[in-house]
Amino acid sequence: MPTKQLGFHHNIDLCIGCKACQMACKNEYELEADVNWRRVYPVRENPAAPERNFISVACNHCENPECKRVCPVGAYSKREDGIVVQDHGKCIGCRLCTMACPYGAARYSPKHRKASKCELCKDRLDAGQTTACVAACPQSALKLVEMGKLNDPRAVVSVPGFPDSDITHPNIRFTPPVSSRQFRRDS
Amino acid sequence: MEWTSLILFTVLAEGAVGLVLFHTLFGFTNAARTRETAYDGLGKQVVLIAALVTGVAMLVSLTHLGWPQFAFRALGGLPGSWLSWEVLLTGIFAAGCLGLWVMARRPAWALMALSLVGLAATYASGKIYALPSVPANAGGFPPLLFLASALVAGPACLLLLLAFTAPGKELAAEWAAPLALTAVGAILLAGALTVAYAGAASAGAPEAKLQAAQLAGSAWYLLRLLLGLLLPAALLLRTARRPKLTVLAVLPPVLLMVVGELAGRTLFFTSTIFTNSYIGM
Repeated sequence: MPTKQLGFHHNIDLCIGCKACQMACKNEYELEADVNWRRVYPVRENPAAPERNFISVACNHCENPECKRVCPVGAYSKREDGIVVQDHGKCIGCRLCTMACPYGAARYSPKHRKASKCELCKDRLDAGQTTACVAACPQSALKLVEMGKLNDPRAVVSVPGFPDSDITHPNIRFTPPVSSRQFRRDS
Repeated sequence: MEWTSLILFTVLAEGAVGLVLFHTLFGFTNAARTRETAYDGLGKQVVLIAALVTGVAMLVSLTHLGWPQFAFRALGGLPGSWLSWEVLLTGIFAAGCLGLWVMARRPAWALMALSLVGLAATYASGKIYALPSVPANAGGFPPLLFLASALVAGPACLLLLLAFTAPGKELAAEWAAPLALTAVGAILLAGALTVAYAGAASAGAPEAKLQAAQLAGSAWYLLRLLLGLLLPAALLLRTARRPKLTVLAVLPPVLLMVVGELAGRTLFFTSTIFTNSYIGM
């Protein structure tokens, strides 16, 4: 059992969808063009409305990680701080983790013929730094948090469009956007 | 195509399991008891074919892996990973078939044990895809669909052996009609499960509904039901009424069933809608 659980807090109200987090992650780990460990998605309030909100999602270091359950080579494990790590050397590229993760966190690389995923910048954390994505966010919309100590009364487990959080109990919390109002001058 | 190796692996392995299973079950008939030598001779061919087909299936499955040379590591996920169980049980099944082929005689208990291992391998294979990340599959349909494929393929393949092999021809007069009827029953079961799978999905989560719509809207789905299940069932019913096992009587329904199973499995894999695809992940 992990002694603490690290995770992410994404304030959708602050996020401007600039994808700096996505690019910072990509640069940090020199990922291939079509492999993104962190991804930013537009969330449409309704199909007719313009895209105004975004969610930034990487591995959620779940309480019950599906990747760990299905992996036939036992490549996944959960650290003391709750980070789900993958032993890249063990991976045989069966892609089952890429199918099993409800959030599509594990990504298959055709170049390396293996799956890989966000490991919460564990080496940076061990060196006393924060994660690359959090460091890159110009709005401070993305934060690294200890789940038990998150202090935001508006934080929720899920937002519309986010996969069912009951499956794996992901360690991400969202602060939903304040409903937007349109002002129009009639005359 | 990403899924080709998995489609071929699962359908071939299930065919081999079905063949051994129905040869074992028909060992309890009077014909098998009175023509013991013919039954055992047929059994020798059954286990050899099953071993070869499963061996080919396992080789094909390696092409799905990024690093096939390290496939043996897939046993490291026991007892938690269904994929590890699939590899282990399929391997035992193939080795068991080969072992029984080498033996002078194939005792009933060994055939029964082998059939159980084969069914367990098929169940494990189906459980791999009963993933919560695929809401249409989360209800437990995949193992049932995979077992139904083994039930469809088994009697069909055995009918082929009755028509083409010397020991099979000795048993054909008594086995042909019940085997053809068993195949029809299995086809009806597989058809009902195929329809129930899409029906259950259409009443499920948004992703499952999307998958059901994709299934029902596909021409392959109709092809699977009409040409892969209904037509061979009609042809086999005719065989059951006039059990004369000529090539023309047996080959067309069996080929149609094989095509139907491949079409069904292709649909199963390619129509998958994951929870993360709903938001565009």
